[in-house]
Amino acid sequence: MKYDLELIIFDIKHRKIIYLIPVLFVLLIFFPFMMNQAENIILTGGDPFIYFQYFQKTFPLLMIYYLYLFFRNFLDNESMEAIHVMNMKNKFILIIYILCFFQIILIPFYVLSFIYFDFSLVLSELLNLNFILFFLSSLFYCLSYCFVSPIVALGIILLYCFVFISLLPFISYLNVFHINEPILGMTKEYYLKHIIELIIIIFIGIKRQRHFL
Amino acid sequence: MITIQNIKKSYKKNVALDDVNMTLENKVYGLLGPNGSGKTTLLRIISGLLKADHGSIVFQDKSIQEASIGYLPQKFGVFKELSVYEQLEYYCILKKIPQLQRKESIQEVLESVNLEDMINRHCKELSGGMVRRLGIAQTFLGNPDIILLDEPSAGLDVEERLRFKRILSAKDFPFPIVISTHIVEDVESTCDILIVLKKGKIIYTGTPEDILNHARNHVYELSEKDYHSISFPHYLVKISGEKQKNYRILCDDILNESWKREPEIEDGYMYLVKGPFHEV
Repeated sequence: MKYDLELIIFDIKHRKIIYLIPVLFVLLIFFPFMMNQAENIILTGGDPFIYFQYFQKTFPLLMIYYLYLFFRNFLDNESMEAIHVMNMKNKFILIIYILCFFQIILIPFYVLSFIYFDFSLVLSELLNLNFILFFLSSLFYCLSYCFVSPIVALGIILLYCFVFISLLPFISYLNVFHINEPILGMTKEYYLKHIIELIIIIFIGIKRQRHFL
Repeated sequence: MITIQNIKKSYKKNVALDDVNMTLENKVYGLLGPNGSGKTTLLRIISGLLKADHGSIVFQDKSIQEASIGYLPQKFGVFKELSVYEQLEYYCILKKIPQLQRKESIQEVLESVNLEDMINRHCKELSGGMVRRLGIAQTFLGNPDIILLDEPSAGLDVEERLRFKRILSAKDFPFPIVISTHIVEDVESTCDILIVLKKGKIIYTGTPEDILNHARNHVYELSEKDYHSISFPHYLVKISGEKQKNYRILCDDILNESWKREPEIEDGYMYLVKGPFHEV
């Protein structure tokens, strides 16, 4: 665990700018925008689920961007064979650590949401957001080792997000987003279905990582 | 000690390795063979990058997966935005070397490849040869149980090659080193044992001195005129001389005694790989 965390910190420390630019965007542009949205919903009596839709449209992409930055060290460079031999340990655990690091960016939004909206609604939305993040991160991990290319994985995930958020939000099969559906109306079926998919995705990813060349 | 037993590997219908057996002790091994003979496949299997179809690799009665392996692949690049020290520090983290030991380990391996002056330089400033040496340096990090170098001198100029040979000849290593190459010159002075692979099979294991015996009485040097007059099966090893060219050949026919030459290691290797020349 110590060395895994060190790897993440090392990468952030030496590639500060590319890691920090999205954080600046989120805190300087997205956060005031969301604050404004929350105030409008309270003033006009609008539906809070419109507010939480923006989370689903923004944070998964940001998370995948960070995963891409990190996993390209393992897969998208000339030394990937040497690096793989140096440490053949299961890299899936790194996904969980990166997700934990990502919570730092989410904290201001957690606070904002709890200030403006009902506790149980916010809790459900934020748990679901983390489920979406974990689902897409696992998919990214699996695709990266299946195609031996994090850029291909990034492309597929972007396509997935675009299709299910913008074009076909009503398709429930494989769609982890719930753009037109309030969180409190969601069933256990949604989680059960995606947890089964997750197990398959993680299993394939771990199996591929062992001998991906 | 690493024991490799009955390793077989095929890519669809192409047999890459066919029943490879060997024991690696704390010596420097030269893995020789023409392109496509299975050298890289064998190194990748030992390193754990590839899974063998059959057979086992045992390191001190344990699985090879438990061994610490230093591996230099044919392609080795660097993170251009990092310094040489940072690059090796990243490898130290991957190899789980404790923080307190890192500085000393990095300095030690850089000294062994004569890159100690470059420690604070950015990797983008390194020449191709220096990157290759950095690649060799990273294999020595973290007390490896075995070092595997795949074409380590690829892309190196003459001076860099000599430097590389000096690195390996400098001391006795407490672990086996396997150098895969198709250039005999790279291994003749540095390796204790040569292993020759041909079409996935080991056809020779022995000292560099013994390999030349395979070509004894088969090496001849002919003038240009004589060379063009011969019609029997042979292999042209090299052409030397500027004005008066000499053709060094390997053949199974008995030629003029005055043309006969003492074999060199390259002759022995080439005879093993290309010979015998008489029609079967």
